[in-house]
Amino acid sequence: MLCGLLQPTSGTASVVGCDIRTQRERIKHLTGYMAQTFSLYPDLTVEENFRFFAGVYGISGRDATDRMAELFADVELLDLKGVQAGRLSGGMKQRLALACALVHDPRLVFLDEPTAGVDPSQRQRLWDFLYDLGERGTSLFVTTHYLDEAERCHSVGFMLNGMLVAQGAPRELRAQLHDRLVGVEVRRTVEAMRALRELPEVADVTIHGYELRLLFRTRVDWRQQTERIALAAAAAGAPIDRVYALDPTLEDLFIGYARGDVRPA
Amino acid sequence: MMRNIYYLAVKEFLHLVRDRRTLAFLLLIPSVLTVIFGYAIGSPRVTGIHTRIVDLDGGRIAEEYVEAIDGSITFKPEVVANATDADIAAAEEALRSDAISAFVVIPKGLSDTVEKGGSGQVRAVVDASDTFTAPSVLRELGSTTVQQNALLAAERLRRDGRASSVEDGLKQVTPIELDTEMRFNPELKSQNFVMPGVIGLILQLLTVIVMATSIARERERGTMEQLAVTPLTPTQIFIGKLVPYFLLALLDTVNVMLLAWWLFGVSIQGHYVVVAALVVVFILASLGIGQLISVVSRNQSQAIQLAVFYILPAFVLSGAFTPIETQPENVRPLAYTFPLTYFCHGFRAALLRQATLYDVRWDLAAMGAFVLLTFGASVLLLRIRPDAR
Repeated sequence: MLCGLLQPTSGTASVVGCDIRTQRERIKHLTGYMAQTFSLYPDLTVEENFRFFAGVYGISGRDATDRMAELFADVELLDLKGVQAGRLSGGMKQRLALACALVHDPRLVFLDEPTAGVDPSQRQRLWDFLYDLGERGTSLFVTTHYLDEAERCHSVGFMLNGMLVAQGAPRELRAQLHDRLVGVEVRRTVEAMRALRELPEVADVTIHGYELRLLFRTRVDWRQQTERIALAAAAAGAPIDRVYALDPTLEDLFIGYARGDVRPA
Repeated sequence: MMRNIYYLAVKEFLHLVRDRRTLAFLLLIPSVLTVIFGYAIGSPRVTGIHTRIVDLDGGRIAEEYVEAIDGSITFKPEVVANATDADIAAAEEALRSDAISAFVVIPKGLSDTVEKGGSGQVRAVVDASDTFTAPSVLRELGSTTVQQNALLAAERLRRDGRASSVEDGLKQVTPIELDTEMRFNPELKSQNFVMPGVIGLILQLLTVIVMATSIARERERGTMEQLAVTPLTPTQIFIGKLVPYFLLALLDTVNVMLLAWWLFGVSIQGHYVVVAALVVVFILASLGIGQLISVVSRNQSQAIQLAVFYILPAFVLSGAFTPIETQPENVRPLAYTFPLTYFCHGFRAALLRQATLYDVRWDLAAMGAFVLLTFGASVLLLRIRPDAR
């Protein structure tokens, strides 16, 4: 809908200053879109794919060549121009898709899970390029299921059951969990989790390897909780090794929202 | 606007070239089918042939002859009583424009001559471009005449029963001589009838299937989503996708017609403009149907299945190989739901009967309606659900 594809049934929104009900064609020219799954033509070469999308946006001849040289240099695809897109690796495909989404120099780019299925080093390269793009004045609108990706953004919105439940800078959002998260190191994690979930002041427990992340219903001082936690766990036959304070992540926050343990501010 | 259509067309060409197997299929199959079908098709029986009887005589003998023709299920005759020479010219024109398949002229004074013991000549003119109906007409008129002669001869024998010589006797027992003329395809060459059907079938097969998968493929790959966010409108997408296949279908038409001419001596006797107009409109109509199938299909295999479901009945019902007159009356109207029916009809007229654009106007109009309908519906559907999967 924000890309100008669908007419809203009610309500309105504005994208790059255009009304999505009445200026859909203009939105299409001012925004770019990079799909979650590779949605270019696998039997066409890297260059043919790019030239097709350039042509569709009205960029042809020298302009297209210049634009391609510029973008392919940025995303490091110059050496692969003659390769069929279907033969590229996941990361290369994503970079090609990004180049195609940027062909008309959009002011805003929608990225639907841009790094899904891409290995961490390729992922970092893509983010480096995205930051560079942001520096040069292009806005990026990313949807993702990976909250470590979301941490990289300047502003984050949480969608839950189709509703926007929270919005803000990652640091502000994380502050909601300040002093509510306590870490517990333990060997027998599953037993310990079951026991600690029974404590009335604990809202939720999640397992991360040998670490349990305890979310308290209210702000607490972790030092004062150590003994209670140790007793409860020991009673369940899961002696704990260590209790410590945790830095909250967006993932903790989102799970809190989703399970109803944290009320959106 | 034209610019980006050009790029879409180039892209579609690249798909074609990249997919060698499909390209080979598209270029080879027409020739194979031409050869097989050209040799393979036979002749079933035809009924209800539109025939006009121009009765210049109006006497008893003529009346009985007309009744005999009327009694045969082969014919669906219209009788012009008290006819003049102008009615003969009108019948010639009706034959050319395919309103009738044959006409019979009963000469003035036939009854008088025969009553006085002489013999007269009944003329039959048959459209031989339809190699299924023409032999039936000949056979049935022949046997009708023999039967009438036998009756008349018996009458004469009863009256005087004498002949001065063998020739005189022969003349006496054949009071009505049947003189037949074959028009438009005098050697009754079956390929002249079958080839337009073959060409139509091949063109339909290629265009419908190829086009049916075009949008469905983009949906399957997820590229439709990417296309939908570009400024390309549904109309532009359709036109761009159509261009390469349209040109390919034209190339195939030329291929098949050359082969038909080389192997079977089938050549265009009529106006090239009419043939070209029919081919172009027919290809567009078939592409349109393919496109509509593509828009309503979720993926390629679905599209192909739908296409086959469309093509098979068209194959049997459209009159591509046998005139639709050979089909039972109750399924005949179905034939008019296929552009192929109009194409075969018009193409035969243009190939052998020198039909003008005016003569094939209804065929062109019907196919044109298919073009507008299918493209209109496709654009609407694509606008409502751009990348429904």
